[in-house]
Amino acid sequence: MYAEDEEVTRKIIEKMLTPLFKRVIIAEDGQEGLEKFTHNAVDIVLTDNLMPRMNGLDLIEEIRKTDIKVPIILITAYMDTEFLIKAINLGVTQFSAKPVSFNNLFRAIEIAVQRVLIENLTRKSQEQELELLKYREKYHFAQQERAFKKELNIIKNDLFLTKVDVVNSRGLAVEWVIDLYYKPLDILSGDSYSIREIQEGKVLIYLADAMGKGLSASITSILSTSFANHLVNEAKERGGFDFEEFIADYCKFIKKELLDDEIVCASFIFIDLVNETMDAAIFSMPPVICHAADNSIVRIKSNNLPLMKYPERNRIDRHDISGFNKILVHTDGLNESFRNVDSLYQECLDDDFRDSEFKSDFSDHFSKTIEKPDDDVTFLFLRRIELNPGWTKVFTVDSRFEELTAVTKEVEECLLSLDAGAEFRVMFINAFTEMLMNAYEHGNLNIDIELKNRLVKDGTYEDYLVNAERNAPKRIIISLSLQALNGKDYLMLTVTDEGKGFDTSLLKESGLDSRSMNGRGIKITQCFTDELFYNRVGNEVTLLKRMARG
Amino acid sequence: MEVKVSGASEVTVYGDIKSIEDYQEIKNAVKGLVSSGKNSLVIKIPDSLSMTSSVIGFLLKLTYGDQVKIAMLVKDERLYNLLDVLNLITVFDVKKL
Repeated sequence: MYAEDEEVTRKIIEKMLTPLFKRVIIAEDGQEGLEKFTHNAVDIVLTDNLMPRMNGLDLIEEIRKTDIKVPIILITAYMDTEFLIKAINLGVTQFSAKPVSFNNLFRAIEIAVQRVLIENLTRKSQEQELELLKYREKYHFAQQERAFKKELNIIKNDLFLTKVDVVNSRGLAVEWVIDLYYKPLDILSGDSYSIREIQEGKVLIYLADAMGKGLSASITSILSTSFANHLVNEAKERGGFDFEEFIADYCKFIKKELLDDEIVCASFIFIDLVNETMDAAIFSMPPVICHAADNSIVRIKSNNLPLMKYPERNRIDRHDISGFNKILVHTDGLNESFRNVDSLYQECLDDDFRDSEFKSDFSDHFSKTIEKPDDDVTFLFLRRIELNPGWTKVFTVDSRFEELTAVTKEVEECLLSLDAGAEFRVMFINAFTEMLMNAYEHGNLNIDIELKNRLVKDGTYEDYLVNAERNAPKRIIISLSLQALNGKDYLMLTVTDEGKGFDTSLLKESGLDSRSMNGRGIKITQCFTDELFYNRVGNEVTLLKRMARG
Repeated sequence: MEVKVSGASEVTVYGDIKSIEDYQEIKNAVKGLVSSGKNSLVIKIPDSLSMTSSVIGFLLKLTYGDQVKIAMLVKDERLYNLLDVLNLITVFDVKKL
């Protein structure tokens, strides 16, 4: 934009400027210049000083109120120092003397244009970089999410929220639950695991910790898990699983995939609950810790070097587990986490394990001691459920809403008679309500998640329940008992419905999307109890919560 | 448990939310407000440390299905944490009392 009141000068300069710019905006005084500047995207301003209505300096002052960057060339005959200082303070970028020398004016314009170009280029480059960063971040996040989903698909847990119950070789009923704690530092980590039920009462536990951290370690551990699961699937299909053969096949595979200097640490534990034995092939992993009925701790140490490219014989040892009531299999992220500068968690691990009846207790102990682990932490907490009821009460109700309400009151009265504390009662009744509703809706009335979501969305869910009740003459059996575990009182609740049961593995993938109804009741129950597990069919759920009286 | 409606669109739940009956009581009170045309609700929970999934399901249906804006004020830290674990802090605009 060029502002000049003198017509002859204006026309000469306009003629000179026109071939240099895409568009030249002309103003006949400062006032018009300000208006045109405000309404156009101006890259460079040239202005005379002495003009009617608004002079050049006032025009510059007004422009600078809204734009501190646009280059301004002041064409003036004034060379007075005070005037020049004022002009510089107002933000004039170049001066050109009057009478106008085309060469001088051209040079001033050239410098101003260069400045505009550099600024535009810098801005564009910054915008591009920012956009690229945003895109990369989104891309990497999406990639990691997809990879994690894939990882969860490869990892298998056949016993998710499910107890193993068998009759052992001595004719005694034996029940175990296997709970998992898996806290990788990165989405893709070096820790990986699988829990496979080979056949009734025979469980294979696999826990791997690949060398290093992050992506490279994750590739090795996922590759290991994937192949180990493939071997198990093949063996299950064939109908014959041999632990020794499995270890040999796995080692043969992984040795070929490892780099010269790469190692994998892993624990392979094959538990036979019928014969109460545990076969262990432990490759440089922390010891498997077992808690015996007499409160002593037995440590089963590694019996193999880490897995590496170089050949080594694989050793498997058999242990009697008939005297154990808890077993802990873990990666070194647990025992080697720093409590403080010179002390590791392993110093209090035995005591914490001894004091913990379930995974929830043990993870609470660990979280209280270790605020932020510096490695991936994975552990499997195996617990024998011994049934020694000191007091039991059984309720049987029909699948009717009013009966559910009535039995809730009866259970609450039982809690009062047992002198359960107020907060305990609230949490326990909330958990009971969730399980009772699941037995009623999903068990006896056979309403699956998809149907429930649709009915809730349509607003017809409760009408559907009323109709479904009439056609479902099925009962719910509730058993409430006091159990003593290592001298601690637990209230145990079992809710059994007459439905077809459900696959607990569906809950693994549910996540917690606020739009979906899936799995929220079980999550709430887990928050308010110490242990939750289903029977194999999925129509009987058991809750345990340590009694708090008073 | 006791539910009190105060003002044009405020519900206060006293006591613990733990049973099927509690759910029905809350549902009836809230439904009364929504059917009178309220499209935003403030739910105050000064006492409860818990909440049943049926109450949560009902409130989610109001939020997503009926486009009712919910703001929840809770006092007990355990209830706040439960709602956080369930990823509901944003959707119910949960704040501490």
